[in-house]
Amino acid sequence: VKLIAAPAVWLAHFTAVYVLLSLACRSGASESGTSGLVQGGVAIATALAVVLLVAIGWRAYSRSRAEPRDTDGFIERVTLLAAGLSALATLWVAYPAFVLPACAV
Amino acid sequence: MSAALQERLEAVWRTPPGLRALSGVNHSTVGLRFILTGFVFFLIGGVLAMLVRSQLSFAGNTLLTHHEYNAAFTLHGTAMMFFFAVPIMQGFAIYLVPKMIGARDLVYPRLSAFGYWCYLFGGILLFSSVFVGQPPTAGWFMYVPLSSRPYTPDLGPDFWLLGITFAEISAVASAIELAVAILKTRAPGMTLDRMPLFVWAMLVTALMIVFAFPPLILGGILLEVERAFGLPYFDTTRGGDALLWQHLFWFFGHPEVYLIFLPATGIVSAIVPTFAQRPMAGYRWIVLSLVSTAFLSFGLWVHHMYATGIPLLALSFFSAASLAVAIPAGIQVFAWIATLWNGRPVMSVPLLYVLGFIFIFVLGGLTGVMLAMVPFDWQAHDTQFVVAHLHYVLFGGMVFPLLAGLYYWLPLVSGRQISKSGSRLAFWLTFIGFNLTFLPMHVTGLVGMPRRVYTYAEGLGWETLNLASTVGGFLTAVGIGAFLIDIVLSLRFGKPAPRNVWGAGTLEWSIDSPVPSYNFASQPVIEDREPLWRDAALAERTQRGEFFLGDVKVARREMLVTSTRAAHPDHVVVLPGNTWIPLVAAVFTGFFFLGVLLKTYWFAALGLFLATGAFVLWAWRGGRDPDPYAVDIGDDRRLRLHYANVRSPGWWGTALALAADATLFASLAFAYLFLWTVSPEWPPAARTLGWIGPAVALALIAMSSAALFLRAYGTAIALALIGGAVEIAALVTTPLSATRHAYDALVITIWIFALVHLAIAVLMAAFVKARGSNAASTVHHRAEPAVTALFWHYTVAQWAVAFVVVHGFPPLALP
Repeated sequence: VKLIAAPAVWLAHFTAVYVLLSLACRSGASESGTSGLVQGGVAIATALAVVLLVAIGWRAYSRSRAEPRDTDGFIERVTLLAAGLSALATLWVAYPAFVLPACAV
Repeated sequence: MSAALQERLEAVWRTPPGLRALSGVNHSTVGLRFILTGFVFFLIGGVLAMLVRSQLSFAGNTLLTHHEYNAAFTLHGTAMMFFFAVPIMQGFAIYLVPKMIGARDLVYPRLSAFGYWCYLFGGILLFSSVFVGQPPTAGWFMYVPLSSRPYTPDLGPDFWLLGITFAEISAVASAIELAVAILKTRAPGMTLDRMPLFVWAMLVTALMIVFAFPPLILGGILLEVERAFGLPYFDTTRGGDALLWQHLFWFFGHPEVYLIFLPATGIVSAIVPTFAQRPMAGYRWIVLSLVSTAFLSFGLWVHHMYATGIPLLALSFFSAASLAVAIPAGIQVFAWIATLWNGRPVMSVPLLYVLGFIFIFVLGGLTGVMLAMVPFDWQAHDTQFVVAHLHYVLFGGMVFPLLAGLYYWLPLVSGRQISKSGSRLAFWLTFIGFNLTFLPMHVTGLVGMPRRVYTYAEGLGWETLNLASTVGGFLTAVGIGAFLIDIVLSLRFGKPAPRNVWGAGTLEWSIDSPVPSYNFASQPVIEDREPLWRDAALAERTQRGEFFLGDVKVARREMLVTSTRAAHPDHVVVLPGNTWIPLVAAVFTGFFFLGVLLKTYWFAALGLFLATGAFVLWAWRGGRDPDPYAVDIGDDRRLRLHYANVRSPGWWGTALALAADATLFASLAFAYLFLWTVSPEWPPAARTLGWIGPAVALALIAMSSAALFLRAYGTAIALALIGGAVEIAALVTTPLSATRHAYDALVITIWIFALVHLAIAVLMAAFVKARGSNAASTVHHRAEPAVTALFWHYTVAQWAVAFVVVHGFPPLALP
């Protein structure tokens, strides 16, 4: 279960920014207003997700150091790797929100 | 001692000969049936591909008419995706997973048999469309509005929707079964990090299927209901939306690609270490790659919809995710290369196919990265470039590993070695033929030829390229033919293979070949990732019965259930023997689908009723043996049987099935919310739902949960029935008309969905009450009440969510 925590955070972040964008573009507000809303929302969601991922990664890291001989170390190490990859993917997905207009087709 | 034990086990586990073999439920039997049937569909799909290629060889060719060409490519795609790629990989898993994890069978043998029959009958149903002259023609993704009734009035889409949905039952059923088997029935000591990577790949794939297939099943049901009864879910003029289909289809469709590809990587990760004679490099990294691919694949679906007018920024999110998925794929490729680099590779036939896979798949992956870019995709969208890309990924990423796997495990199944030269000839024919077909096709697409056109004019510069592709296509077909002949010859004339012919390290090779039906005379203790490399005598000791459950007096099918992470023995599951019930239940389910197809609804209702009866009988016959309630497993240990356990395999399976069901329901809620955001009027004018009646119903239903918790089954059933009746009354008195507007249609659909669940919950509770296993004193039968309670509370929670969706949106929403 721990193993999927990090990619689950990525998926939640991904869903959140997509839903936010879809709803914002339906709201009928002006382009500049929506862009601000979307960028602000994406920034908050991304910060939250990255903090969570760092926490997951840090916990896994300290546990794997604490009990290196235990077989459970396997789960911790994969969790650490997954947290790193998920953080990278999260930042990567969020990046376009800051270079593109929100609702242009 | 050991001979007597083996004889005894064979008598208990074997599949009977002759016609009675159809009642067999053993995983080896069912797995081979899946593989064989899947291969037959592969050949059918291949013939259709040759028709497509023949038609395109010359400009203005008239071999096929427009309609026939459409049918050929639709059936080709459908056969390959739904009836070959997914089922044959599941067949591999059903056959191999228990052997790799040291188990004697899968956890729900009757369910695997049922799944197989659903798959077979679904395929027959779909392909029978050809014989009545009404094959589906709208492409393998059945886009609306082309596939809706006004534009395709014949039965083609109905054949497709019903055949696919029927076969889908099998995909979800075997996914649930595999996941529970892998998590709960590994041999003692096989911790998660000692599982073979093929098993990891199948675990991830199975869990993906649980979440990926329900949206398609829902889409299929909605489209069939729209076609049959005119409920306008996808009809823009009545509040529906055509894009809803695309969202539902691709939310399934993209993970689908990975759930074909991940098992194939599992095969490769099984073969590479054997022939490198080294443990797989980067085991942890591969597990990471499998898990993250699974998650990322759910964030890619819109990359099939770049051209549908979604905001550019939204497309960029999906573009980023599509690019990110290249990272885990790359990790695996480098891990394979590193393993081969470290070892001393033996250039044998399975490895040759694996190298072919790596070469082709990497090319397909690279064009995938190109297509993930929105501007490039807009240029290449719907051209032959996409066709070339997807064949590189799927043929390279799945068919080559599949052929490698067939050669690799064939000696285990047949007890005979594979040929040395025929197999290589087949490889080179297929490899060269494949590249000759699809490498030029990239160019064909880039110079502008669209996909799915049945002919083209001269002088556009497409002739030579198309002719080359056709020649290549037939060369590939010859290669596959050579493969088949080679397999048949080696089955007939191959040299007898010794045990563990390749010198592999994983547990399935400790079994004698051909394989005995019980796999392991005793269930071994695992201490390593490659147990056979660590302990050369393991196979002998297992077959002598030195480990767990090697009792010579055994009279029923027994197997260990172990803990999820550490694989400590926890209890013993008694598996059902051969039975006709799965076949009978599948036939009755087939009546239902046939009745819907032919619009003879009394026949469909009869089929549903009979199938339900078969399922009740199924449940009644299972999980109830008299004393003793515990058995000696050897090593002076005694364990309880599964039906005394709250967390029985049945409980885990139900939990996963409910996860799939929750996804189905979430897709339905998504449909409602999606149409709310795109529909100009939602709800349409003059539609007000009263909420008092439904609120009373909700309160009653919620109380039934409490009653069930207190084990008052009668009260719970009564409350549920009254609550259901109140909701029906509230619906009937509301001015809704299902065919007038998508809003009405969805409200009614959501409540019917909830009511059907309530009916099933009531049936289960009545079953438990009739069996008398609800009394608190019967400590030996805790499994069934636990499963029923799980389902019941879930149903109540779903009911509450349905209430919130229907009555909370849009009144609570912003204007």
